[in-house]
Amino acid sequence: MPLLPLACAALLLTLGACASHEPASDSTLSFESLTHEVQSGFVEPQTFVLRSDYSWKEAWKIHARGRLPVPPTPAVSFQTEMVVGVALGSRPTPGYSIEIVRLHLTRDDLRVVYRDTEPEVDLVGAQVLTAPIHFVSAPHFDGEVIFERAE
Amino acid sequence: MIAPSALPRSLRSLSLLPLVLAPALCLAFSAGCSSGGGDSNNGGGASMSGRVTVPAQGGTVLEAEPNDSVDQTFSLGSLGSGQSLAVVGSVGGTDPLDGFSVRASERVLVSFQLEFDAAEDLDLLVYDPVSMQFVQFFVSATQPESGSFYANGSFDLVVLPFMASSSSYTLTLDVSAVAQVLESEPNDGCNAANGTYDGEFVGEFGAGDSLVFQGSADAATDPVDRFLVAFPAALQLDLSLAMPGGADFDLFVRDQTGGIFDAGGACNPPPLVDSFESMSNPETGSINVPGMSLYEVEVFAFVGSGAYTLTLGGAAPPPGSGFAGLAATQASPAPLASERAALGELRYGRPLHETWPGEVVVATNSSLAASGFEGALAQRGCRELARAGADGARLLAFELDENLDAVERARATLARTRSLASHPAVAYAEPNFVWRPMGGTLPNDPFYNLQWHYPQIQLPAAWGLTTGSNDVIVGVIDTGEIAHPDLVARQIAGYDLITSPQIAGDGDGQDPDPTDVGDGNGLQPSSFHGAHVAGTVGADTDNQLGVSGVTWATRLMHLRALGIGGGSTFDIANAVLYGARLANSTGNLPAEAADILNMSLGGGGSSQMCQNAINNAVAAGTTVFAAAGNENSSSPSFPAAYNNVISVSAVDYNANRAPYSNFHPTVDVAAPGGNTGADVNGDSYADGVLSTLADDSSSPTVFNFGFYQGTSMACPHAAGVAALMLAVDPGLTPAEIEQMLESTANDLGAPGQDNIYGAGLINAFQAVQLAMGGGGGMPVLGLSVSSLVGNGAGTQSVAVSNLGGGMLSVTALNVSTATGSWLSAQAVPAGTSTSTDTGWITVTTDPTGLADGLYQGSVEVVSNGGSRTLAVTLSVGDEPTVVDVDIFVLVVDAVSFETLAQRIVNPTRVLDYSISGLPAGNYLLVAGSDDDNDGFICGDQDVYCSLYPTLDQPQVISVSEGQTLTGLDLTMQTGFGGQSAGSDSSGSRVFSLLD
Repeated sequence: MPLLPLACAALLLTLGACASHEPASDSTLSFESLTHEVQSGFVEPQTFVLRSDYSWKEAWKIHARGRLPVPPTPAVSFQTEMVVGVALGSRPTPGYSIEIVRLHLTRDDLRVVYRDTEPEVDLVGAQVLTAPIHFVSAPHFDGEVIFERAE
Repeated sequence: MIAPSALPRSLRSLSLLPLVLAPALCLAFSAGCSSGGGDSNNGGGASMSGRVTVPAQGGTVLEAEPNDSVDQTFSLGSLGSGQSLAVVGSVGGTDPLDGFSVRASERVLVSFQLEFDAAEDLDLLVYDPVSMQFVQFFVSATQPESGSFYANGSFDLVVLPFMASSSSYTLTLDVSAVAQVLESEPNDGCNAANGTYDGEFVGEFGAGDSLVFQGSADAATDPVDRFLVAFPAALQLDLSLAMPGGADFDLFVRDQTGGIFDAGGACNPPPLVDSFESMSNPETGSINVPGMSLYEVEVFAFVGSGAYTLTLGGAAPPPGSGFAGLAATQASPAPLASERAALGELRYGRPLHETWPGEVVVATNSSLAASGFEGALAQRGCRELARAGADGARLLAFELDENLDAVERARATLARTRSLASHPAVAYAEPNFVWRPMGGTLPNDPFYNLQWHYPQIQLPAAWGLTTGSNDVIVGVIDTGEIAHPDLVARQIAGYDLITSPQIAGDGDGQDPDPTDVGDGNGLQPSSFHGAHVAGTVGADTDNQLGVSGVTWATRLMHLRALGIGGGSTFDIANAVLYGARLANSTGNLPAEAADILNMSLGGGGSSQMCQNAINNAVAAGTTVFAAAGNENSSSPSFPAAYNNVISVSAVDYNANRAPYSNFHPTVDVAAPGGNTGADVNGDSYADGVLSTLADDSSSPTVFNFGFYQGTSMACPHAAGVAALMLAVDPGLTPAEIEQMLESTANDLGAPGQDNIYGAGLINAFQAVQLAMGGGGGMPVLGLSVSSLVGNGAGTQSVAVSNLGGGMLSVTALNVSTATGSWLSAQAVPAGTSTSTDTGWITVTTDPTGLADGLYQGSVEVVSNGGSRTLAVTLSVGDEPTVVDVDIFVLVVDAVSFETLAQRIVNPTRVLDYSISGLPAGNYLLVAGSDDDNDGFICGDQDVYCSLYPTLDQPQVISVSEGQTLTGLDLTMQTGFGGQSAGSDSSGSRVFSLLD
């Protein structure tokens, strides 16, 4: 299932618009994976732009609520960094994933490019629901953040 | 500042101590304590406050079932001089008797009054746990029954309905110290005509004791006075009888250990141990007495009459004297068969629960450990087998006569247990049960309370029947095994059936190593799905670690068939064959075939090879379960849709279809699969199925626990219940297991079989009961709570549930109060339930006319599925009762049960508490007294206990950062929870005090 429409719907609430234009110039940003897994407490498709320690810890609480003991919240220096993330939402089996593959800075905004995949057909799989997610830390950016699904 | 840990624990009960220590009793995790006192908010954290209400000491205790046998008594704790106690209960009908165990801390005279309904007749008997027989009989036809008896050490009180009598009752006990025993007629010994023993039981007598008897005898009119003395340990008994001048009184000592009565109810002529028949005054003598014996001492007036003084003295046996052991346990059936059979109390002396012969679990009070206890063990010929447990519990063993039958061995074991329990250094002593009694079968795993999915299928009740067998093997066809500490003890050799090295991820194809190397494929952590499924079937349980499994003892055989991206039908078919010990592609066979195969997997198309493998496995006697699939689809999912497979769909916390669960005609039963998108039960965790997991996102791998959802999670619940069924009947065939699971399931959805739930939600209790040859769908009464606390006028509801099958009918509500008529109850029919015709009991309290204080009563709920009693406490007025005991208020982590904070309230007329500096979290609020000074509250010997808001229905209190919670009031209960002296203490939650 493509994530973009839902991601855009979510972003409309907070960012006001879902841009579709191409950036005038690119600057690829490095980022560090904070967690990339298939069992998250976020069971609905969702995107994240978290710029404070409080919001990151609150998000982590929900993300990790299915595990005992709750793993510690990965450290992020919000003086210079922020957290962006994508959640695929609940899926019926393993084999689904979602991954942030690139961040690039345009003149107007920050683009977060992600890719989601589905399991191969005809393999027998475990009958456990999954909820893939990917959180990364990125350089702090106060402007608009746009999520784009990679083709 | 005095550090609390620097003070002896025994000093902590001093009333001044809380004032001294208030600044020191900060939170355990707090970096520093406020110097302003312990009750102020330290600023940074959240706070809780409220008031503790305590019933007056020596107040009213409500009896609670089960208390029908010597190994299932209701403990009244210790009674000492000056104490009074009222016990409120009901007996008769389906409740044959009420047994109470008591420990007299000194030699006392207990005066009692037993009040009951005028038209009925209840009796009171005193039971000697040393010789395991009744020794005092108060069996008049009058109302109330009253009298007095002597006691020292352990004894039991048994309230017994005469013939078909049935009544509520109030038993009042008043205890006073005695310096000597006063002879009281009639005391001529065994009375076959009445079925009583007319004599005076004086309780236990040990080395160092001395006891004076005052009486009178007359050779012509009253020649015989008889006394019964219990000897838990061997000793040298010295006797001295002073008599009037000119008289000739003699002494006879007889052994009544083997039973006062014979099998026919006639008096057993007791063997004469010794007699002292000289002309001397005083008449003196000395005998050696073996431990665990009951002796009758007879004063016989041979010539003359007048007052006499009999003095007994006891000394420890000299080393090497050869009589330091125990009396030979009597194989006589007399204690079981003879004791006033007409009155029907036979069952009391027969232990209901199997114990390991001769084994006793004992923990001592740390402060008293040195007070002669080791000598007491030596005197009883007792040896230590093992020592373990946080409370220093020891496993001890007595030698028992090999010729005893199983019942007599159990009786002898119980007698030795009780004799140790009366020692002042003992915090508790209990038999080493083989099967735990039903009331004590909750596991001690710290995360069990988050496994809502087990009570949903009546597993706690099923565990009262069996906790599983190590003879049963469950094969888990899945992602393989991990070295999780909550699994390793259960795992046996498995196999890796994955042929593709790419899917296997371990560098090769099929091999004997079923280790799950992870299926992350770039994502971490891996799912470790097989570990989660296996943990549900049979995680190591009751090991004070992590989670519980459906079975506590089943062996787990991991058959690895799922790897990176999943698996193939070829590999899975071969895993089925391998598990069933049939020819397969590996060329190898397991040492033993799996009795059950669990396949929490699906997808792909229908495979003839897989169907054939399943057919062959089932024909070989292996029962096969599979998950119905997670696509929220009506399409068949394989292997669940194959013939000969028990297909399991999933329900959520409310027993509704889980939103993902497939629905198809091949669905056979439903089981909990969870819904991690919800937290309906409000425990702050997702309502998924909690089991064993691992995190391989860093090295080394961390073994943890997690909530998953899916029909994958439902399937092992059903497989685990099948393992419990095989534990009680290893001869069940796959077809019989399926039939029993289906016939005992609680029907959900459309009546009868349907595509969503199949036959319904599995019922572990019913299925195991049926497998044992019992049950057959009979109803079993369940109540949502067993106690209520009310404040003034009000009405509260208690949910009625049918733990069994068929239709449950509540036939009567028997309300009982010690004072006034402030309590009433009404049964409310259920609206649409198909398994019960009574949905609720509403309990109403009306304090009109009552003075301020605390009142206790009970509601006995009688049904065609048995009876249960609700204890009701009513608080009237605002003033808390002042008591002379420290009450500890603890904040306890709701998951780990670790005590985080502690306050003490005490007799200052202010029982308010306030605890501050709490971090955000989920907590339980507990309060209680530490009467045995063992560092724990709510233990067997502790008088007061309460959880917020009620003892039987505690709530997790979620506290956010800096939040202030007020009004968290606690009402203490005494005799809480119907603690059974014979039950496993580990089954009852106790809470640790902070040092």
